[in-house]
Amino acid sequence: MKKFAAILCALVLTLSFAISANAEAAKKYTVGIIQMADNGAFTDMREGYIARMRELGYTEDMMTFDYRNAQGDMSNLASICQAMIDEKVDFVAAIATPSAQAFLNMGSDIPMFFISVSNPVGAGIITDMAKPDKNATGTSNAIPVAEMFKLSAKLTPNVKTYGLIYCTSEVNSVTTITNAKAYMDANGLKYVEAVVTNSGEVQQAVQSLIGRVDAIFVPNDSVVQTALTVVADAAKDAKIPVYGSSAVMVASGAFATISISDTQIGQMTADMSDQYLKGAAIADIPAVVVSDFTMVINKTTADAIGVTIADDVLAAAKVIE
Amino acid sequence: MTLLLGSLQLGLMYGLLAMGVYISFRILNTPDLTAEGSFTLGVAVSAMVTVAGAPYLGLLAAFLCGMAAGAVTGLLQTKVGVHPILAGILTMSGLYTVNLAVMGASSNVSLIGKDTLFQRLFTQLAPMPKDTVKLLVGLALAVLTLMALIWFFKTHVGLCIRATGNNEAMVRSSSINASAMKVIGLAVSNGCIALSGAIVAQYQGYADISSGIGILVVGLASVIIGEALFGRRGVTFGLISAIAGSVAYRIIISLALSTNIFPTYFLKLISAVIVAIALSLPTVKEQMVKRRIRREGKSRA
Repeated sequence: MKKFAAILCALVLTLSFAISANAEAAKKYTVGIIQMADNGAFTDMREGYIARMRELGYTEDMMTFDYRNAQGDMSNLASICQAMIDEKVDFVAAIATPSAQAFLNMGSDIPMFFISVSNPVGAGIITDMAKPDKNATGTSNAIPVAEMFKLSAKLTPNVKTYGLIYCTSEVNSVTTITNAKAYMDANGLKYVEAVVTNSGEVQQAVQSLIGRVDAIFVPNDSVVQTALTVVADAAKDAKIPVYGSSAVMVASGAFATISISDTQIGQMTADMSDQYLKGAAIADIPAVVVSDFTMVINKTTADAIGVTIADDVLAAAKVIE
Repeated sequence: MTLLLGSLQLGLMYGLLAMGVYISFRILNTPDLTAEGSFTLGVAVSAMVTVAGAPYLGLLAAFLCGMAAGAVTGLLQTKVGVHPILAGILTMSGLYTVNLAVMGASSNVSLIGKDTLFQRLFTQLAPMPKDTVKLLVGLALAVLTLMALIWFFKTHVGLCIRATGNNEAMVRSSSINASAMKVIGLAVSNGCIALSGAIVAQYQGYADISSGIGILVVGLASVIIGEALFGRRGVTFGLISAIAGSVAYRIIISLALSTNIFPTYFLKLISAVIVAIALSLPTVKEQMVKRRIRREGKSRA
């Protein structure tokens, strides 16, 4: 019993230290940043957000970022959100769907900016993108599926059947795939799907597609992205193009994409936070679907699969050698 | 305060998970890896039934589905003779697809703004602070399940399950159907785990297919922390200490989150170190007792 009491005392003491330490910082802005897991895309978004805030003049004396990462363990998200509420952060930036849902559900009166939630209405974070009603607004990064296929029709007009590789557990990629299938059904294109549950299964998924498809499309999927070089290499050997959903994928060997950079999404969300800090009410800052896209082409891959690209297209694109 | 209160709420809700793991790990004495699948199954079933408008039924449905999952693992172990670890892995990976199917092939189902049991109770118990309501729900569910389990493990079947975990050969020679006992035990265990997922889904406001990742470690850590704090005694005491261990585990996580000394990516390491310290307490105590005895022995010699 004595031992237990001692442990309890120690716990309470440590906790109160932590709380008092945070109280001192309350004079300036504290921004909570909630990240679900460590992956390249999320980290780029976070860094883009922070860098943009600093650019906008919120120096380290004026604004501190309390960045927390659940490290892939969803049961930690609730505790992280509670820690932010305890700290009374001025507002929260939540990266990707579960973080945003977890924080919103706490029912605190702290405003939230979500970064890269592909379907905010479906996720229950907002009822109408134009009129934020739950003290939360932010950016949605729906992948421009139609633009993607138009690009493909221009660069590789002979492609009739697409292979789709994605992980079923990622709401972002499933949303993109649903849109892609709808587009292909409407435009008389065929597709073959290969789903994975972790990055170790990607290799076999690609091999199952080779020979049955004319091109491969990879959505904004962090699992497949991890193993994208595997996809790119297999496709190169089979001389078929891989269309990705981010510049990072093209840099890892995919053929081309039309996309927005993750850093840019973070920056756009930071601009929205700036509006709020300058006095705008959250309800007056509409949530946006990011639509400022760039075409990215990998020249090395293009040469390897024997695709020639017109000079005017190359001039308009960001080319990766 | 929110963090401490939140840790209590979460600890009680994940306490159901800890009891479930305790049943398979300590009472049945068998390693069961079904947890990651059955927890998510509970999350998914509870969310879908809640969306359909019946949050309380969601808990019951989740419990029953969890039991079914546990029974599958049990049947694989006993009837098909699959190694216990492999049986759990098989059920767990099969459940991944089942869970997606339950959620309508979507990996995330939102419960925000939906009629969850918390939302209902917030209005029914109106002036009471929301955090108190959440705490009471966690407490009520944990205590009710605890009492039901204590009762269950004192019934004839419950005693047979305990005996199977202690000495299977003896149980078989007493012409008790040990296989059936294992299946029932695993069913009850995974029922509790799914129930934990069910309440957590309504608490956190969404169901996600990745909810169960790492959950077995959470459950095991809770059970072992409970034992480190209170020692290993009977089943009743073990179940209670599993809940206490779960609360302690959440407080540890909140401590790891409150320490701003380390960079953010240290979270897992810090919580692992704190858990390790908690686990070493009994050994340290034992060493101190031994040292004292040795010292006293010398002084008397």
